[in-house]
Amino acid sequence: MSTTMKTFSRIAAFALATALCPAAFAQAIEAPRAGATAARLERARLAPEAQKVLRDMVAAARASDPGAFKDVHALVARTPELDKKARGGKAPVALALAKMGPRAVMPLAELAALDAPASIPRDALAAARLDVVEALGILRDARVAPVLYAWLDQADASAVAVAAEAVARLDSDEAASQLLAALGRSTGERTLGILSGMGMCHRASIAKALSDRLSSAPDEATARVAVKSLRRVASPWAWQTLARLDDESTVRDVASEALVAAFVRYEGETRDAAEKAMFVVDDGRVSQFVQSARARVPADKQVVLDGLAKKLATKPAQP
Amino acid sequence: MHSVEPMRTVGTIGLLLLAACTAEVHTDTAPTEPAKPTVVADLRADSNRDGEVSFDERDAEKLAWDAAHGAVFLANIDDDTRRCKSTGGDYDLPKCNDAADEVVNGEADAKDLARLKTKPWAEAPDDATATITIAEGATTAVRLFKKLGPGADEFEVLGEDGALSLDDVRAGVELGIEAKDIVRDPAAWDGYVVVRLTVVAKGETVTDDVKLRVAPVLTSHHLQPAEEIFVSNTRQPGNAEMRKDLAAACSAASAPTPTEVDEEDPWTQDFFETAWMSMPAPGGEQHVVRVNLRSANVYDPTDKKNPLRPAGAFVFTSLRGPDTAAIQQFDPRHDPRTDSLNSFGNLETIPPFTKDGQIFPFGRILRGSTPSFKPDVSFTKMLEAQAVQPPVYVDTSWLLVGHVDETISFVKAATPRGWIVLVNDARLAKSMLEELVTKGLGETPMFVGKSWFDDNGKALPAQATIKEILADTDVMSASAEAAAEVDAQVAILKKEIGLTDDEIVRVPYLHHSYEGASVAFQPGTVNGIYVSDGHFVAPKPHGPMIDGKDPFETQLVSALGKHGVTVHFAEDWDDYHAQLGEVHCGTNAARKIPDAKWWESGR
Repeated sequence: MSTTMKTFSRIAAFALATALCPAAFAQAIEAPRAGATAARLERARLAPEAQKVLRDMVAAARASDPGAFKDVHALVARTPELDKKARGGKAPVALALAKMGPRAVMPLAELAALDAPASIPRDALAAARLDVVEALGILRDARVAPVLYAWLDQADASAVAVAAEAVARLDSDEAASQLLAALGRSTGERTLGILSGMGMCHRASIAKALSDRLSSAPDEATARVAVKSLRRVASPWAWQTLARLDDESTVRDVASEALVAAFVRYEGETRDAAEKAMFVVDDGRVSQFVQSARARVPADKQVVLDGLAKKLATKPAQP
Repeated sequence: MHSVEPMRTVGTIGLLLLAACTAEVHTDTAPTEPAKPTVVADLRADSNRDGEVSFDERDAEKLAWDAAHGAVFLANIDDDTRRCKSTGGDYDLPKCNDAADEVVNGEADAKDLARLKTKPWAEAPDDATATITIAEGATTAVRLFKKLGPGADEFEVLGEDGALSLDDVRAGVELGIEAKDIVRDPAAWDGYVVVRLTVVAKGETVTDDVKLRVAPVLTSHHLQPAEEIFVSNTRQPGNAEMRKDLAAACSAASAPTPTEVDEEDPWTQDFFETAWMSMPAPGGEQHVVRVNLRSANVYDPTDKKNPLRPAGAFVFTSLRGPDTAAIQQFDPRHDPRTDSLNSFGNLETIPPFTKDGQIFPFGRILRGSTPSFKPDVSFTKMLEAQAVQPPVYVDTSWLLVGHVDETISFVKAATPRGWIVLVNDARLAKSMLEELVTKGLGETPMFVGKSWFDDNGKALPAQATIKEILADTDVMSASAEAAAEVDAQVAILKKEIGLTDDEIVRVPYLHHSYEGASVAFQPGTVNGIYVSDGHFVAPKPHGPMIDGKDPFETQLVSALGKHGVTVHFAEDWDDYHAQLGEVHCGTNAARKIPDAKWWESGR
């Protein structure tokens, strides 16, 4: 093997590993090194009927805009090359794929759930598989929801995390139900994967599930994942962008109360995470929850809560 | 300090004399003892740090090691005669340096040896013997040489038994000491060494000790003028654009013309860190050895020969040489999921400051690390062991790349402290954009003409209007989180440094999320390089053009202008911003060594 090839292989291997290990998710789970899991990542297994529906949609899209398929395939094929020069070894290919807009949905869905064209090198497909799913999520197209739901059942925890976030981005009641069902049947690292992605689904049921998970006093890693998802589901900046606001006040109240409880229950990093989450959520009732919690805790924790109350009172104004 | 005591040096003669010299124990420091020992054993080093070894009071305080006293020596790990090969695997490259052999490699190498001298004892009897020994704990960490003649490099390694000849005892001898390495793990060696002279004569054994400390490795901060600026030449168009703008900015700032590193890896900041170590030299000067650290980025833990990020070999293959050392420290088994934290974009140096009476004349290291998301533990241990710039840790786990330079930077300013902090402020970015919407300018596009992964005409336009960006759930969600996370980082800086709000310049840009973590959505204008006094090179923000001006450029120019800092914008979109980094990530600098002496820091 030439020196150049050897270098390339090494970087590509790293890129592949990094691709499957989102940093924020990785901190909370003990997922196996992703390079080893790449081979296990396969296209989503759709029911035959759903497959047929998808094939029909893909065929129609190909007939009307064959260039979209060509463009998506070209970018996916370039993923190893892009990863090679990317910081940390992983280029934001998902963002680029999503930037192609709605015309990229069916080409991406094909790659995620049907047979990939032979023109895409196998290593490129492996490197881009999660980018494809993440891009589908960013595009928020309900037509391909079954593809994303099917991805929730991947064995690999990192893949589940990406899929969960993609599903969550659909931001629908059905997506919330799918996430909660997947959460119910998951175990171990896959549970963490789903919890980490859920926060993009702005539904009261999601906030409640995350709150319930936190109140069950899970281990610190799980607690931090739940906290971060809670801050995301209840983020007022995110809510400002949403059309449907029915659940907003409920979500933010549920999240705030759960975060205060987590702040009391945990220490160290997890407490810090809960505190930061409260500042993100910026809920008007959080001070009330702090005072309620204060009445139920021993003196040492009252002191800590007083410190929190002081910080909340002087928090930066939100635009 | 003299003492007379049973011999610790195990040698044949010593064992024979042991019984004879234990009964009469004299010391010149014990007031109850009647007389000085007749045996002369006086070993000196440059304990007063004036660059010379003397036998008068100047170097008499030999066992103290504090801000005022204590000799210093160097890890002699440079390559003064350029004999080290620039090829080899990751484990081979560091094996070659001047301390790797038992030879003094020329005059320059001899200068890297700290000197010790034994006081001549012209009247030493014929039965006098002497040894030089190293106290336990440092025996394998250091090497002693004995000067043989007048030539600057006439040295030979001191024998394993440390024996000096009778002539040596009578005439006195000059020694040179080198550490074979820097301190990496204090549990193995804390960097201190006690060298002992033992003289046996007339039935007496007299010992004399002197304590030295190996120089720590210190990293540079932005207030030290740049002497050399590095930027990778990847031969890519986007990289060329950035290099062109950087060179123009350096020229305008009277900063050095950037040195191009022939390297595919564009992240010049990440794969090496410039640092130095020093010891006292005559005339109040310091003898400096620059030290370049290779990043502990493990790209392939399964590769038994080359597990590390290839570009980092640059410190050995290109930079190592006379008075320039190169080191690496890594655990190939470290968590690959946090490997990015080992890049040196995640190692910045807070400039000098005083907090609550504690003076940090060389500042403190700043890194992103939390108990559950941390860089290579062995590297951190090495860094902390240097002791002079105790690290401050902030949480960067929320960032996709995870580097402190994504949200924090430092520039010189005419403030009482002498510098200010630049911090990302997503809140300010959102406010600025909302204000433009209020003014009816919401349809103004941003990122005009920019694209994601320009692929020979298959560009993916990045352009979006202000309203579209403010309506982007992902951008807003990530930006809200970024605001809270940066607040937490700032809170730590305030606590550790004593910063006030007046010393913080808020730099607006939004974030978006990718792979569940955060990264700058607009070019991260904190992430620039301070190239010379009053000149900061930031990524071009490509904000909305309002009346021919980009308010994000205007804001930064105005905010830094108040502190006398001129901003130069460099085009970094294609090969840096779109690849999750910015100008600082793609550059590096070797900076002027400060006049301050680390040994006076009290650390």
